[in-house]
Amino acid sequence: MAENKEKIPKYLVRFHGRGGQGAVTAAQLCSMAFDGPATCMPTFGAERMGSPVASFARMSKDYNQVRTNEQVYSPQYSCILDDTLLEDVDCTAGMVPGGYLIVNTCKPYEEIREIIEKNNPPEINVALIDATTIALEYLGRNITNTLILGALVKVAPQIFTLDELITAIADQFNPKIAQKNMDAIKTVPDATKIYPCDDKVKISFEKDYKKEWSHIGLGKLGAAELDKAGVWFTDVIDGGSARVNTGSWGVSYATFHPEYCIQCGNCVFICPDLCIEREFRDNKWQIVGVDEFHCKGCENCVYVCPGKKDKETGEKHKALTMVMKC
Amino acid sequence: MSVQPMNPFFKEIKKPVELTMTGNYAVAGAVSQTDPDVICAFPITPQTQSVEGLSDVVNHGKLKAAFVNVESELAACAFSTAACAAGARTFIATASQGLLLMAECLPMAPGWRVPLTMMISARAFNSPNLSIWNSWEFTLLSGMGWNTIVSENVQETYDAAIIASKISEDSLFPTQFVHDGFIISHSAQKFFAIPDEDVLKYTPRKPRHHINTDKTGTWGGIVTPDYFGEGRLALELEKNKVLPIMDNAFKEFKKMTGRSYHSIETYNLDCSSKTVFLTMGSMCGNILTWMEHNKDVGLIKLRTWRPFPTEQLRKIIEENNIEKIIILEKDDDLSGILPPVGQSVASALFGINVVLRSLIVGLGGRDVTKDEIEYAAKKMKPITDNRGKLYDYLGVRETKDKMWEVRF
Ligand code: SF4
Ligand code: SF4
Repeated sequence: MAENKEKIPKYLVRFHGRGGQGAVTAAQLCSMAFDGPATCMPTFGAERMGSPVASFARMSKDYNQVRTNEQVYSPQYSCILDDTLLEDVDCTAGMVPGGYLIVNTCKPYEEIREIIEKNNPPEINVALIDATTIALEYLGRNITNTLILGALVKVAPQIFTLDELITAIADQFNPKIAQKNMDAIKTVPDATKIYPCDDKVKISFEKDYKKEWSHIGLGKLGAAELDKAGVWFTDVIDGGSARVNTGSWGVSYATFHPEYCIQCGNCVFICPDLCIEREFRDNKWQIVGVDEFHCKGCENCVYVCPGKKDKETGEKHKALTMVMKC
Repeated sequence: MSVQPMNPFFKEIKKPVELTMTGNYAVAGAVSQTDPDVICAFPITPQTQSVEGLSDVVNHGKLKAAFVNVESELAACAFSTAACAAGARTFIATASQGLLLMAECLPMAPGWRVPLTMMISARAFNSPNLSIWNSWEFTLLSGMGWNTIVSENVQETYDAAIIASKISEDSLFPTQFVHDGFIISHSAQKFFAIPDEDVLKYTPRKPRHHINTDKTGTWGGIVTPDYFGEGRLALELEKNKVLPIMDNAFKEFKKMTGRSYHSIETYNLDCSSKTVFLTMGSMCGNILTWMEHNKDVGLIKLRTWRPFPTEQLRKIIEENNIEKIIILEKDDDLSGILPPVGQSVASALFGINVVLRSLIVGLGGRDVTKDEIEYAAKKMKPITDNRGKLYDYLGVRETKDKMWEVRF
């Protein structure tokens, strides 16, 4: 009996996106489209717009195989909604050999391959789809989560069909948006390009590739090294998000023009990422600039900045303005 | 909003239908089907979408209920206890620090015997750090007299919302139903929704005591030492009747849906090692998937946490000649004795010759994987008595490069 059971395949799919791109909805549509027991979950966290997020879908006709509520550690399919993530996150982590990495990109294959090779991935196939262009044409917005599923149908037609996917979309969205998605998605399979790996590598839908204790985070401090448990002295641990490049998320960043600053301090209090730089000069704290590494371009500071009049022209200028990244 | 999570519950559900929803939204749907009069809750991660979903259904007009925005969880608990005392079918939901803030008010609903129903998306208390993720805070506040049932997955938590409402009203004790925060509250799973008509038939409105100008009374006035102890004993005597009431609620639920629930559920108890895992909630699913390939360990799944099903557990252990119990629990209380679930199990089994150990796992949202389950099973093999340390932490780092070794 046990022998037989192991032959029922179990499909594991991971989605990488940025908060707001709909990676969680993608995983949910996946499990809805699958004809059989399925669960899906996000990596659990408080996600901000733009921060890297992941979500998973777990599907099998055998309920007991998907009854577990563990996260997915070794997906056969990893779908990337935003190719800038390839640089920030190891999107191939834990992948099953012979699996597929599906990337929304307009970059050529060689360039994508070069980026993912940095993480020494297992032997995997790559599928590329320029979903953003299709999304802009059909939806008018860069939302590619349903389209990437169209590419998944192309590389893994055994999980669910395009028709099943379209039914799931019709259930989930309001009719107008659903219709646009359905029109767009039909163009995806033909637009998906596949770059296969060595065909001797056979993908497994039964074996669990999770490395023992891989979820424990060895390398981070242990109980014996946390001096006062809840008190994190900053000489031991980096407080907060010092090393997290929140500045990579925005399309613009704030710059500071000292000549128009009245030192009111509004910007310091409004900035959600503590990016307004201050220095102690002439016996008082002064605003001196913006931390571009962390500025995510929300524009809050510009909004609250009163600024002052230019001496020569008499025109009012804000001391903070936004600059587009090229 | 392009995604409309509560859509299926905007119209009448006429026959059983398969849906895919997150735990919180599924609960919102189920609660809306029980036709509450008052919904009163303050949002807190990871509970928020349950009341958000209910506000959608009320706003849409399908559910006619007073949706009351309050300023804190203490107000939510006070307001809803009072609404329930006034005769309303009332729902609240919370987690973690919200439950702590409610604490002042929690004992009143059992004291007045009002059938309040509460969802808890289990989340750690803020110590030593703030965590929005899953631990079992409810086990640390479970001495208040609330009935408590725990769910493994989305189907169970949807069903629990309906069953809890019935248990509350049949027992006249408030009932909490719990699912693991994020792990179930934010996971979308397939489940079957029950037709509206069936839910209403299952949870009929029954006459009960309530604040009433025809029959006046004092609710929660001061009593001297002449009465307080008698009042407590009166609660205890009635509380003893709750487990059979729950059994009946489960039985009737099975008649309606075919889904069979019990205060304690068992799997593979005739295994060769006579060793079982004992736990609650989402971890049961993890263990059952692991058991697909590991047939020599069994599982005892507690659905009813309060009142503790003592006699049923004793019977299961004795009749199946269980020799060893590995308790997995997502809580600790720094008490020097077994952690909460271990305490309850050990005291329920007092005098029975069984070896047990508690392992504290999955704190603050740490995933509990096959690695923990396998390690626990292996670690238990050489243990043959109840001497030495009876509990330890599993799946944490001792130092940067070393796992904490479980020391029994
Ligand atoms: S735009 Fe201004 S407020 Fe927003 S992150 Fe940058 S510096 Fe801070
Ligand atoms: S808000 Fe504008 S004027 Fe005020 S301190 Fe900041 S930069 Fe200067």
